Amino acid sequence: MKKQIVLATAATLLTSSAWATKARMNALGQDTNRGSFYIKDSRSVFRNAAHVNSMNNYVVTEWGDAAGTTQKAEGGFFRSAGAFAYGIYMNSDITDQAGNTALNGYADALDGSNGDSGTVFGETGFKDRSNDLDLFFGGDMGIEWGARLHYAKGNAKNSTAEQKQDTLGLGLGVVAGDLNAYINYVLNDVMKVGDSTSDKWEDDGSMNIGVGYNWMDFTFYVDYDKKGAKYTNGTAAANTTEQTTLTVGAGYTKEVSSTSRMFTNVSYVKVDAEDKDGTTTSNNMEASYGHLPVVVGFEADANSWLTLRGSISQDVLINKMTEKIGTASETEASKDQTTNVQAGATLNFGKLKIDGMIGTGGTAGDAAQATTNERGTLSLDRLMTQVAVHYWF
Amino acid sequence: MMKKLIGTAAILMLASNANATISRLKALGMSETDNEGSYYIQDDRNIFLNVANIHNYKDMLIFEWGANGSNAGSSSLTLDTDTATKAKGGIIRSHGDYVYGVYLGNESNTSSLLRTVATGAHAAQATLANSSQGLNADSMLRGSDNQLDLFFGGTAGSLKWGTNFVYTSDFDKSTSARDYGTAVRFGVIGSKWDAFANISTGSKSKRTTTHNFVGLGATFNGTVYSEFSGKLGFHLGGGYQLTDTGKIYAFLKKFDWEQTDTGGTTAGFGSASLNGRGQFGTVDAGFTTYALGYGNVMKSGRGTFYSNVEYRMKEINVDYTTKAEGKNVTLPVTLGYEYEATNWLTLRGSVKQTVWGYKNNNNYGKLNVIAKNLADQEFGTDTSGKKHTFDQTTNVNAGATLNFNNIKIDGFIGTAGTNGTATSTDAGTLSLDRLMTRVGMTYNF
Repeated sequence: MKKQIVLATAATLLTSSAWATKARMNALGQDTNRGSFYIKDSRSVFRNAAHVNSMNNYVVTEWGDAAGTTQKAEGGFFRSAGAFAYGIYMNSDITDQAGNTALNGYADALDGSNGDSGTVFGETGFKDRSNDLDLFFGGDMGIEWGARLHYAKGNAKNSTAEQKQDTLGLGLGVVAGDLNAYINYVLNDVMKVGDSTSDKWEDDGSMNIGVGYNWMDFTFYVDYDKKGAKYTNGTAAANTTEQTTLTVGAGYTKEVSSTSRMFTNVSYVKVDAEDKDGTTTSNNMEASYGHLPVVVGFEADANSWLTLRGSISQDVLINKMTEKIGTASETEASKDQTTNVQAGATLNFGKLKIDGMIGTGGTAGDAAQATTNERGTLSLDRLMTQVAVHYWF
Repeated sequence: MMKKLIGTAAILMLASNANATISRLKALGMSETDNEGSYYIQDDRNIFLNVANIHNYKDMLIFEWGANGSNAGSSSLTLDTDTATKAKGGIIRSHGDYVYGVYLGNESNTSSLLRTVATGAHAAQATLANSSQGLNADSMLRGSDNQLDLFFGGTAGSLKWGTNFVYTSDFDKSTSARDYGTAVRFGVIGSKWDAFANISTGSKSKRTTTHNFVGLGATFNGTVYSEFSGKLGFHLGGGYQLTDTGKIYAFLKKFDWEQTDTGGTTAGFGSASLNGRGQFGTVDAGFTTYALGYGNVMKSGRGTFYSNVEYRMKEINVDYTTKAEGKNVTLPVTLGYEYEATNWLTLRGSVKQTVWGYKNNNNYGKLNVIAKNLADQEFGTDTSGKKHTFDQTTNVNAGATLNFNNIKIDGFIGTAGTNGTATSTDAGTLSLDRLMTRVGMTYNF
């Protein structure tokens, strides 16, 4: 009897508690960068560093290439050490605002194809941010706490200019019983070109702060996220862009059995973005998107070697986008086609698991189109995309 | 007694393996505009036909893979097609004798078709051409989007009843565009009979667009206001189990509307086929379908044989001064099978052919250019008011289900296409780069 209980417990741990990849979060309709607000997954160490205490002793690799041409190559290692836990993660680009591209600003991007102010908030002359490094450390003294340090640095010098790139970020979190709280802050993120124009791109107070509370099978959460940047081209006044996202919601997890579960979450999400042209105020742009997305998902062991998951999400009842360019009147519209169905799978090989998205369409072998060509097709020449491998020891 | 229990359990397993997605019913020969279900084959998709079916498919999650569907000449109007599927899905749960559920994204193809027909001719012409032909190149009336379906049902003695509320709404103030739709469904299932009434309680779409066709020879330069206003819409029907395997059924679908176009009749375009379309002002229109049929479901061991014959009429009329109309009368026969090949694989297929029938279509030249293309697809080409027989009506579909205990993955098999994209459902080929298309996934909990 005891052996059966031990074996059953081991099987449960192997199949249902060892989750650690972007593909799983994506398939369940959750945030792939910082993880879910309520579904247990080690991706959440990027939201609340204290989770390093409850999810450790594993290695994870996300397939892709370093630059993220198709998908970003990244990965890490987390381990417990008595009452403490630590980890190292490489090439995470959560806070990368792509200042090394001539990006159009958050308000412009939020608005989609409707109107273009023409103002840019970056340039290709800057050094790409790469080789990011995250270091984690946490402890459990009745209250779990954790800290994350993010670092990236690069430079290049030629006869006419020197490019410099510096990034430093900090994440702090606590989990005290049913309550969890966190803050992630970009201390410094700068790109410079030391040429005749002395162009500069820098982060402008990006942060992510939030709190969550578990009650029975529910989790209630509030999260505030801000991304901001300032771009200076020579002696011209700086162009600034900023996007804030407020999320208030509740998530519900129903454990159907030891190897299957259902998830539901409802959130009110308000995104506000503003682009300011330092030279031409008529190019200033504001945009907002307030919506109420509902997500329903499931995850279950199909058999001993295969876990399947899927989700559907859609804006319900509240769905409004606004846009204002310069002194023109504000426009309002609802956002079309918000229904999104995702599916994923895990191939279980004992302690080694391979996660991925399934049914993502695209061209044979071309992962770049995988997430943009959903055709409702199950293809064997592109069985899984956004693949990650994790090994639990 | 033990053998009977095991036998009963086996039958129940086979029945519960009879799945729950659009691709299953289509592989068995379903051909309904909104894929709303089968009148004689049990499937959870039938909750959109007779909502009382939520009692038979409770405690399950349903996902239909896809994206935004097919662009029906406009990103504002989309169709859920086999080669470009629309993402949708939902959950049905039980609580004692009651059942409730939510379904997302089940926009109606009929809704898109009618709004396509109702869009003013100049607006449709601008949509077909590029943006150099005026502002808002995509000028079609907006279609249903972000649809929400709520379900609730209970029992009354031996009767199962259900009700459903549909809500969809979207807008764009920059083009004074607004679309909304509401509907209710009622359904009852008895021991040998079932009946349903699905009623549209509100459906409207309107839009203002500006065009300048002067540079292209046409004289129009101005603003067009298009409006679709639903007047009466209902879908009534029912069935009766005549024998243990055979069921007789009938239904009537009717949608009437008014359409308004301030752009008037097109004129002066270089291509003669673009001229003379549309009409200024408000005209009445209607889309009617009715059918009487008999379906037979015969189970034998691990397999099931399906057969169906029905008489069906569908017609559409737009009361321009020269009435544009399409009418199809058909007598299709469908033969299908479903077989549990292994404990993890179920295969199915069907052959369907119209053994008698005719089309009688007229004055497509009055429809806007995009509506004309859809009329060709839905009713066949213009026959100048004469009766023509149908050509090449034989259609074979095949599908499969991968069974993983409580998770099932359905799809078409043998579809044509390239690189994971199905371009048609007919190819005569089994390709691994397109193993299953129109995939649906269900989870029973």
